[in-house]
Amino acid sequence: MKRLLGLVLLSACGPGAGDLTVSVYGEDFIEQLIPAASSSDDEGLVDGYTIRYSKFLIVLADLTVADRHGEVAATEPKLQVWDVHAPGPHRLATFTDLPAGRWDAVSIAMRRAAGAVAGNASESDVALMNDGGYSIYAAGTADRGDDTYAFAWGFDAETRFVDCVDADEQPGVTIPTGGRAAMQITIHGDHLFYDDLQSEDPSLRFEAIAAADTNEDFEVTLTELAAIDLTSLPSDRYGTGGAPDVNDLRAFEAALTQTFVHFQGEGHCDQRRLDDQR
Amino acid sequence: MRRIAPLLLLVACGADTGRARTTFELTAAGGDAAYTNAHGWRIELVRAELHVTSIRFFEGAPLFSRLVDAVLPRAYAHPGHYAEGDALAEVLRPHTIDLLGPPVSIGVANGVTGDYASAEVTLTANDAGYVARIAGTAERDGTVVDFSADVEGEAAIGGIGFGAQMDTAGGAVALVVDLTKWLDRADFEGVTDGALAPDAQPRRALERGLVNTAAYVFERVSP
Repeated sequence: MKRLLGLVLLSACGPGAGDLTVSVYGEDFIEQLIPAASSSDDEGLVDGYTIRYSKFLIVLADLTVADRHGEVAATEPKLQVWDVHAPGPHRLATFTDLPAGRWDAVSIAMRRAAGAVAGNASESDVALMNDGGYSIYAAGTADRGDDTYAFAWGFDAETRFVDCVDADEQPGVTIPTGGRAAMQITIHGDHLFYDDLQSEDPSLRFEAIAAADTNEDFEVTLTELAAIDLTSLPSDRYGTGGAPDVNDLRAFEAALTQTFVHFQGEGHCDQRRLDDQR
Repeated sequence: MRRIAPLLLLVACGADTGRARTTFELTAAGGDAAYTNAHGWRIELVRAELHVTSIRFFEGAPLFSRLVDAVLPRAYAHPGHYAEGDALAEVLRPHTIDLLGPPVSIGVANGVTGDYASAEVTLTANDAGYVARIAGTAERDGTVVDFSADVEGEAAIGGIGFGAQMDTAGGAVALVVDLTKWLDRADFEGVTDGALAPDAQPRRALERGLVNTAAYVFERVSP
């Protein structure tokens, strides 16, 4: 009888096992559009532009689900290209029979493509990222009235996002015994149009980017952005905090790409720069 | 420059928070007043004053800081990028600092122990009407410009990196204002002698330089 009781207790109190699915998602802002703000309190671009992405690619790698003591439950090291303009969420990984419990050290890296493989991206998009050595590629249009500006920008900043917490500040993910947990890497595409690197409450704008189209062909290139010294812009916009070497609009946009990766929607991660933004 | 933030309450000390009261002296001084900036102009300042009305310290780390890689423990990629978190200490004594003079005490900070990660410097106009006053010369290829500027308005320069574990030992924290950041992006080409016009590029560069968090360097001085 004693031996039997012991077995029962082990079954009730043991760690058990469960499954975990991990997805990556671009949300409506990337899949559909970023609207013009209808009022100063509204979400959207405050200068009346509407952004529609036609392509939004990101290279992710080194997903790790662990705890703060260094115990690792699951990893997905592959360098993969994700097309988050395509309707999602997109399945990044599925893990089965993971030890149940809270895994409070979730991390993932945004890396420059070099021999990257497809997550859900097309063969041609994977080639685009590998050939350019990009970590992010964003293309689309910005419309206001009769004006439509096109953009197609590749960036190669690398960043590791660690100790991710959800919007309630709960770290990582809990694997239920006998159940399945879901985890989402959420890409915030609206950040590309923030007008401050440091502010707690930045606005979304395109006007300064449109004005960078000096050859007036309605396509704003990174070369044109690089020609816009931030000192030529109103001093209450495009603040850089203490970011080093962010002196023009191109460098500003490149720095913003390091803020794209979020966790479980509005959750966030600690950022560790892997190199200087470019 | 953006508006100042409302007053914040310091996080409490006591058994519940694991924090104890602490105080430390805050001193301020200017860095190099002569340097060559990014546009190749040799800048020599003969006046550099800053009117500081408060300095606060927070637990949240800035996302973009020259210290991010080396010291700061947390830097969220956050919808607003920088989450300042709880206020841990403050000095509320208005002071016009002569940044070309010797270090001066600007008060004793009252706060609590813990891991400090960022600071905020609040600037408002003094009785003379400015938050910053500078004067000096800029020289490049034989061209010399004598310039001056009074910057008005107000600003709360948040998200200044400051990674330190503050305990009950107190001691001091030194603020050094890196004057090279104030005019690093100033191009004096075509600028005439005298007060910088509001739309002059060096004036705009100065206004940006003034709120560049990298211009404000805090360092703990061991007790």
